[in-house]
Amino acid sequence: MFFVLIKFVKISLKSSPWLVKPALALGVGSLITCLSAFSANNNLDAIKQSIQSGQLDQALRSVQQERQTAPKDVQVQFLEGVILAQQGQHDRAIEAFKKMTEAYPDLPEPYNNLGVLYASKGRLEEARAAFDKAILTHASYAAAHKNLSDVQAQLTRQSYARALQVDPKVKAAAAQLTLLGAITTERSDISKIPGPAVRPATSNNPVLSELAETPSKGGASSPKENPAPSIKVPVKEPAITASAKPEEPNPEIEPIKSAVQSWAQSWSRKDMKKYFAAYASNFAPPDNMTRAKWESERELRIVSKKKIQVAVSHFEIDIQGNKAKVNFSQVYESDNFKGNSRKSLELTKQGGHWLITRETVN
Amino acid sequence: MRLSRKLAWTIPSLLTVFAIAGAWFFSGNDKPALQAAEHVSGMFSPKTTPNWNLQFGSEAFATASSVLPQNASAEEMVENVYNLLRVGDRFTARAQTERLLTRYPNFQLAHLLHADLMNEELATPIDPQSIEGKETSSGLNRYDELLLESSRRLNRPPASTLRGLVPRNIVSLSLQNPYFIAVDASKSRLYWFENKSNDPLKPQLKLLLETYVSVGQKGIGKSREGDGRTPLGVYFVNKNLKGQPLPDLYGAGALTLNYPNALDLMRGQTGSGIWLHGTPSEQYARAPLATDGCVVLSNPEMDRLLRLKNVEKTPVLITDKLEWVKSDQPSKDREGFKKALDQWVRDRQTSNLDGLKNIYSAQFQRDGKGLAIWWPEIASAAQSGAIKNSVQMQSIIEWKDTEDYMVVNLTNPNNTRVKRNQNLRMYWTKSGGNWQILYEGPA
Repeated sequence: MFFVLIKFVKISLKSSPWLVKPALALGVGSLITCLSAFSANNNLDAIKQSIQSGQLDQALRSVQQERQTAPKDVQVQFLEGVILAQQGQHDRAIEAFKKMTEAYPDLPEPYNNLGVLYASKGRLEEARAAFDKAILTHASYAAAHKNLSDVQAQLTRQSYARALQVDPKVKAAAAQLTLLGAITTERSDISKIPGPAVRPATSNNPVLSELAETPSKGGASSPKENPAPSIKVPVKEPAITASAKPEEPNPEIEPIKSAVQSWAQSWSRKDMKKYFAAYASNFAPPDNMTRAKWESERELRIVSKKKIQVAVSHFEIDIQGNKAKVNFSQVYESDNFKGNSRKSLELTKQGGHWLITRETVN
Repeated sequence: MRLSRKLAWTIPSLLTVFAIAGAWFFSGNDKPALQAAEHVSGMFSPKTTPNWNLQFGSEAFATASSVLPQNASAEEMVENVYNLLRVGDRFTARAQTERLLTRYPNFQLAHLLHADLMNEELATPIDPQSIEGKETSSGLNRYDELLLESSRRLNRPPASTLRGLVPRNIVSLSLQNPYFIAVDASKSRLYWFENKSNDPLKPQLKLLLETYVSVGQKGIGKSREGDGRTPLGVYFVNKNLKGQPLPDLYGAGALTLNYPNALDLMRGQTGSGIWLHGTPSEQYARAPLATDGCVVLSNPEMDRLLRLKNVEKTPVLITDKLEWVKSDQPSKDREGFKKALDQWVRDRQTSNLDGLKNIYSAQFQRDGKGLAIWWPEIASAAQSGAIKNSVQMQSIIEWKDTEDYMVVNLTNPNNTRVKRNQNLRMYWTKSGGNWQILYEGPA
């Protein structure tokens, strides 16, 4: 068995905060590769060098000094755990990483290393739970993980079909995979993550929130039902966050919601007339298209599908006079595609109707 | 068995004992295979282990290898996958399964292995029983057929344990028979031997090939045409049909057998066309119980056998359960038969017709006619001068079902009068403690 203990984490690069290099295989001979040791802190570099040259005691002393000057430095805490693990002080290393997972539940690296250490002690269930949590820290990872397992389920089905000599195409229902509608906002620089008590607000992306609530084991719905995360799962009906005070809900909220819903409905029914009627005359089509061109493209897109299902939910409505901005979650499903995205519509009230003036995918 | 398997997982040394004992004592009983489950992923908690179809065979094929010889058979590759799983090397196991499938893309059992390996990794495993398989003729569903195939393949007695052993039924086998074939239907195995006997009465055989075979969809004990059963008895290869255009069903080719033999005919059995043949192109192997009565081998094995020369006339013993004995320890209980046979030879050579007639059974039958019709011919042969030539025994094979029989092939001592090289075949039976001739005719 081969676990990768993440030794140094490259954390501060905005573009790719997730690049980590596996550095040490615990238990099975160790392999130290060149490390992408980006660090703002020169002392950290020195510590990393000490680790690389095997001077673990020295490294530990330096880390402990660093911790006194900067007790909240994530990098330093992390390195301490790595050194303890390397020294074979597995229990202490577990403690260190466990504390980190409590303080920074959104960092995958401490969970990963915790998993490796649990596994090395034969605590496999705990290891598994830790790895699961590592994956669930990031919506994209979680979605990719889920998609991967859905595809593997399909491959498995196909293999069984081959074994049983039935046509795999007929027997295997097409997988419904989750297409991420947006790039999740980057994680902020780790060093800026606020302290333990505050959990950085997870995005409202339903893909994320739902996956985060999916129990890590056996929680996935059976492939037959609906493998794609569906927003039907009632997450404490969050959020009609209107700007109006809660005790006096803006009377326009319901009309706006129903305008958006009927727009989605006409789209689902491929009722082009009603669909276009949901857009205001001053609607600005994307890419500076003319209205006519936009309409003909939409029509072609929509009418060509056999079946379309558009469901909207999780509204956030911001009303300013006769203008409104609506953020909501949209699950779009057509013949061979299922996508989940966050959408914004800007509407204006014209002649008693809320009409779309702008449509954007977040 | 289930318990022993579980124990075996925790105490590997026990496995050796159980598996070797198990292979021999339980191999006739296929139930353990069907409930074989949850052995592999010892790494993970058994509670979370899905329905695991794989099961382990005998420990006797001990070592798992990450590199197999290029010419490893499909079965050896499957076996190696199990061995790799037993030592916990899932990664290599999966890679080898994929290699196996590249080489044998129509090996359904390998697909099942592959599916199981993938299924085991899923958070929500698929229930394989939920996938309806191809319709089968055996009454088992396709899934259970594959489990049975897997169990038969993995529980086979290892070739090494057969060294120095020969099928009990061989009484005498002269070097005029270059080969001997034995089928153990209960184990779905065919054994192809090369005859190395210096003394025909102490047969020594070298195992050329032992392979998985399929038999009749309704099992064994053919009696009527279309009953879907494979006949049991002593048969001989008639023709090698290699190179002849045959339907895809026969795969690499076929060897025809002499079903129904003289005894079958006397018993009123019907049917025909019982062959040894290969598999259709869509299947690397057929289910253990799948044929209309033929014995079916995978194409690579069938092809190898079809390339051998002088395969015609090779004895083919088809049994439900093959019994093995040490080759240098011939059974003592055959003395009575040998005496009777010697007496028959003497009576023929001395033209002692009264004595000779006593050796022929009242039930004698050939082509539906009794001894009264055939006796004149037998008697005249015994009176001819040519009979003074010594009798050359080719083979004596014992067959026991409701009665005791001996199937004897010999070079016709009358070969100056009758067609040259025509051989004589006799069926002897024991009645009232005496061995008598039930049938005699050209082979």
